[in-house]
Amino acid sequence: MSIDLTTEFIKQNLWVSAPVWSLAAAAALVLLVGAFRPRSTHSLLPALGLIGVIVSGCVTVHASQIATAPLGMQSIDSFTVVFDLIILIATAIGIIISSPYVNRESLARGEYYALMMFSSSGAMLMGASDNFIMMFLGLELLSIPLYVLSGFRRLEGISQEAALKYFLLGSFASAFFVYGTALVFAATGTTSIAAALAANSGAMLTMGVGMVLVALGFKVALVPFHMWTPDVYEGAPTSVTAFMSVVAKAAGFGGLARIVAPGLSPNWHLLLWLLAAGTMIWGNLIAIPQQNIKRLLAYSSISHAGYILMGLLTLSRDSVAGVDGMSAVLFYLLVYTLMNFGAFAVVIVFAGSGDKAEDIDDYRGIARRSPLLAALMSVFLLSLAGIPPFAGFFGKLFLFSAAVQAGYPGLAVIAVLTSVMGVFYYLRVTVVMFMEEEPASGVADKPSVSASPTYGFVLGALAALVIVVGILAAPVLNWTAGGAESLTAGRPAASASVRYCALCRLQRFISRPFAFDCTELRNLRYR
Amino acid sequence: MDFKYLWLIPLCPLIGVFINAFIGHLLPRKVSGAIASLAVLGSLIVSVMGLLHLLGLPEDQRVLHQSLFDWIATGAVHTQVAFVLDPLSAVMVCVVSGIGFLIHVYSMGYMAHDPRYPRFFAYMNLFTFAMLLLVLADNFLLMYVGWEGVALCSYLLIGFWFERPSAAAAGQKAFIVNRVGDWCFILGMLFIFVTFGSLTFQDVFAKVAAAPLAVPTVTMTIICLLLFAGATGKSAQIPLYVWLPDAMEGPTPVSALIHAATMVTAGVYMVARCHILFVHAPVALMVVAGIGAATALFAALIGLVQNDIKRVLAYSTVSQLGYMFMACGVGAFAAGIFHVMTHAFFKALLFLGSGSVIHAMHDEQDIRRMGGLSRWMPVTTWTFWIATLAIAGIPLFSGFISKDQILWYAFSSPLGGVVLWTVGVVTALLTAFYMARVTYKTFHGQPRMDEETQRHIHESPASMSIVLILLAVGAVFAGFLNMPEALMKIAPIGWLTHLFGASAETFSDFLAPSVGTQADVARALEMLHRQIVPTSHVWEMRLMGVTVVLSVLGIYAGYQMYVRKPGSAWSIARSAPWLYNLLLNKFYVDEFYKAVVVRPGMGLAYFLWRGIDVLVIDAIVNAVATIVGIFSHLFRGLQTGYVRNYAAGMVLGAIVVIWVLTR
Repeated sequence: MSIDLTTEFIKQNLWVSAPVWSLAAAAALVLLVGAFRPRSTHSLLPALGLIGVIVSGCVTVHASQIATAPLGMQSIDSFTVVFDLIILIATAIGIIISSPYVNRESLARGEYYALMMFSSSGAMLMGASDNFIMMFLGLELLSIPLYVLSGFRRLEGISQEAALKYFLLGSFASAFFVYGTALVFAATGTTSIAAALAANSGAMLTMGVGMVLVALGFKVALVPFHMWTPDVYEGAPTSVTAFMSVVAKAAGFGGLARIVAPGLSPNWHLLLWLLAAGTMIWGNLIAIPQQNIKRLLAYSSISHAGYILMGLLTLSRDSVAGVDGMSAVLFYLLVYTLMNFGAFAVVIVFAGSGDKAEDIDDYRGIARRSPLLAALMSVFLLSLAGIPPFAGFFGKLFLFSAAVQAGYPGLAVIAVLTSVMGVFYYLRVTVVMFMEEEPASGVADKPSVSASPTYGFVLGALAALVIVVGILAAPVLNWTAGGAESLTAGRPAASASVRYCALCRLQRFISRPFAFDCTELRNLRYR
Repeated sequence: MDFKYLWLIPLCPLIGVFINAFIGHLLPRKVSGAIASLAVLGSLIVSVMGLLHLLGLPEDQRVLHQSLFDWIATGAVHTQVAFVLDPLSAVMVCVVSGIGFLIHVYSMGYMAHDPRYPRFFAYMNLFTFAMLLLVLADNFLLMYVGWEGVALCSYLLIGFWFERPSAAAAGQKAFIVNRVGDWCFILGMLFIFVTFGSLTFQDVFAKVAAAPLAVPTVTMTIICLLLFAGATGKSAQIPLYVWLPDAMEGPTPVSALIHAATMVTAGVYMVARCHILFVHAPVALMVVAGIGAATALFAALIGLVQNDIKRVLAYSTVSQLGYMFMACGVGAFAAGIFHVMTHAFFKALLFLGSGSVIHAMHDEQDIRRMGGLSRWMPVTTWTFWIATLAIAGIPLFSGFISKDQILWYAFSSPLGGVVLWTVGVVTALLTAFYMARVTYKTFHGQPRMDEETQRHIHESPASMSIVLILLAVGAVFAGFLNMPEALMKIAPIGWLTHLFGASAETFSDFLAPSVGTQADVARALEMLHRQIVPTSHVWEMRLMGVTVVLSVLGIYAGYQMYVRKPGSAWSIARSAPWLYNLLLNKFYVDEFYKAVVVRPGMGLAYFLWRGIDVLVIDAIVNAVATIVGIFSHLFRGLQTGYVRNYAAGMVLGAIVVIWVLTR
């Protein structure tokens, strides 16, 4: 392959990778300012980081309009744009939530925000890669800062333990990824995702892609690759936990979407089916007896990975249903970002200085002292549980209906039943907060928990967004659908038969006795 | 399509709700009430602008449509939040916001001493918002949001003084009875969706209009009957009228709002909105007319003997709503809506007048302990009289014109007949009589209250009496908007009508694009092979004469029985005690419902609770929960905390993955 090193080619390359390097450059700037400017300026670092995130967002949108030609390594199609913007939103919320927390816990150091932003640029690279090697780069760029961030409370054993565990197991997962890529290359002679999967050559390729899946499954915490999650989530500083629960998961799913998008064989459907079912059941089941709120949210994040995988399963199968499934996945990632950050932010506020109160028992009767915070927590938890009118409900609705539409009613039934289990443990926290009495001892010396202005603003905004996105679900879904469509653009169209969703079928069933011809109706609806 | 401000109409009161609900308690009372009133005034201004804009357009283009955003778009359901302003909804928003605004202003005086002042105005604004949403919606689903919203607000406001058990019970009764109707409405909505595949008015009506016979008449009839059943709940018709008389437990402005501007007119509006469906289901139309006529007569009979001033007015509302449905039932939808409008004026006036009386009498509502109030309260007295004359149907008052049109259509329409007309005329006589009774007993004759109360009787403050005067002007002149052709021939009337500029295009002509004209209805019915009766002005005048004579007779009888010979009514009652008791106890309908519906329902509920829920369902749920709990505790042990075990788990997982993939 001859490389045409014209200016135009370099320009194209620069624009295609612009989202990633613009954020990385901003991170580097934050790092340098943190290292070389006096400590007194450090309070400006989060603002600098936020500006970087915003600039990177603008660059992303702009670049997507300039760069057109796919160059084989990464692409900047509308999926990349939607995905990057979700990641950037998450990063921005992460930075805002971190800044009062790291000050309170005396963790404030310049590299904190830089690491966060580096990690996000890795996530963006994963969602944009067309090549296993690029994806591996992204994976490492995502993971290594996270290992460091997990151990940021370096004087505490639990944080050190979290960082070490995450690092060891993460390296193990990375090894799977590299070995898988090697197998793919050995089998097909290419590391391009599309080319390798199109080759369709036997067991070695399958094993290779399977191992890549193991690594990505580790990142998004699919059962049985999830076991690090509760330990790391509990030990890491809470702001880092919040960040990683959202961004690392989104990154993993972005990578998975790139691999799954070309369409996979029936064995894969079975595998993803099993993983999704197992993750939903296991995550929700083990969440029930948890006593620590961070561990509870860790298992909750595992179960959400199961729901999201369901949407990817539809993408792997059928390009028409897949668009619905994938747009539901992106929608869910966005919603999950909002509600999960919200829940963790409340956890930060409630825990108090030194992160002391993180057990569910500590939440007992807390609504008496801080009714507003308890109400906000309930909004986020109810949204996570999937109760209307919050956005979480619509996220689940779209995922479940996509699964039904793609022909996986069984999986959707499992999802609904496990969601019911989820309601139990989410509501348990609400019940503890609102309906139980505070332990008698020490009520007097506990002042009412109040959020700092930053948290007040963030929590209010997140709660409002959780409600607004619920009400305006359709336009948001439209936006994510644009991203989903570009993923399946290259695939041959599925059979042209008319699809019926569950509602249509029910409607046809009911309307039969009235002897009304449905043909006209059908044309109308699918016109 | 220049008018882009439709969304402001419901938004204004909604903003008022938020202000009063969240920071109302921080504001001075006057500000809180003023904000609520201004919010509704804002809607009124935009509504009137919209109405004027419509009037400026040629007749066939008078539909303003504005979609705000996609609301639900899953599968076959595609619903927008979208508003439509056509002549029908324009009239309704003007009535709702106009009368609503006056009632808000009145409430500022009436509720001045209530401790929950901001909450009251938040509810009132929410009520107005819900009603405006209902009227402006361009599809059944959004309409249903408003439909439920008014039910919720009526519950909140009727039970506003929830310390009183009777008020709390009345609020619940209103809500539960409405639920029965709502249930039917949902079913109707689902039937429409199943049959037409859409919930948008435009789609559904266009389909019916394009191919009227494509849908079996049976289906149409079922749909219309279900919709009408929904309307009977909201608009207090037999058999679901029982909540409205109890609704007077709420503060009097609330009664005025419910009875005049919002809530009860929703059913009539909905039937008029769906007139295309109804004219293709003649059986349903007959049911509508029959129920309307029966309710009109039935409620008027009960109203004859009630002693609570607001209760009489409540039954008169039920009765007047019966007229409106009678009009819809004979295909005269424009006449029905016209009566909605005139009724809004005089009924609001009656309720606010009675509120003024109750205010002056220190919460006394029994007309047996009133009398002679005219000497202390001149404004209230004369405005109340105007409303009484209007509702009784004295010529040229608004009520006369709208009621007479209904009676004329009841007689002349192919769906009507002598029976409906007779019922309507008898009701008119009864109406004149019981309204005269209330007015004479309250304002004239000897004072029957004790000395202490007497000393404190006073005319209401300006904010209340100005509202009364404004409403009285409406109650007198609103009729000129729709002067029947027959009357225009009489020179002074025609001249006056020209003066108001209402001759060129009457109210009915204006409404025609939305609710169809008599000719449209006739054409639709012709297709269904019905006879059309030719009509004539001569007959219209003759029938009108009969009504007028009877109305005057009713008022004169009231004068005789309650002013000239105060004992005579009592002796008549004693001569037929069973009849009197039957009427006084409202035909024992509440008792009947209690025995037939409430008691068995409670029994069933108790059985389901104790027998099914506790013994079966709870047991199953608990068993499942226990089993899940056991498993989760069991498997939790796998989470050892050792990295080596986790890594082993990953390897096992990888083996499974590869095994599944290479099967």
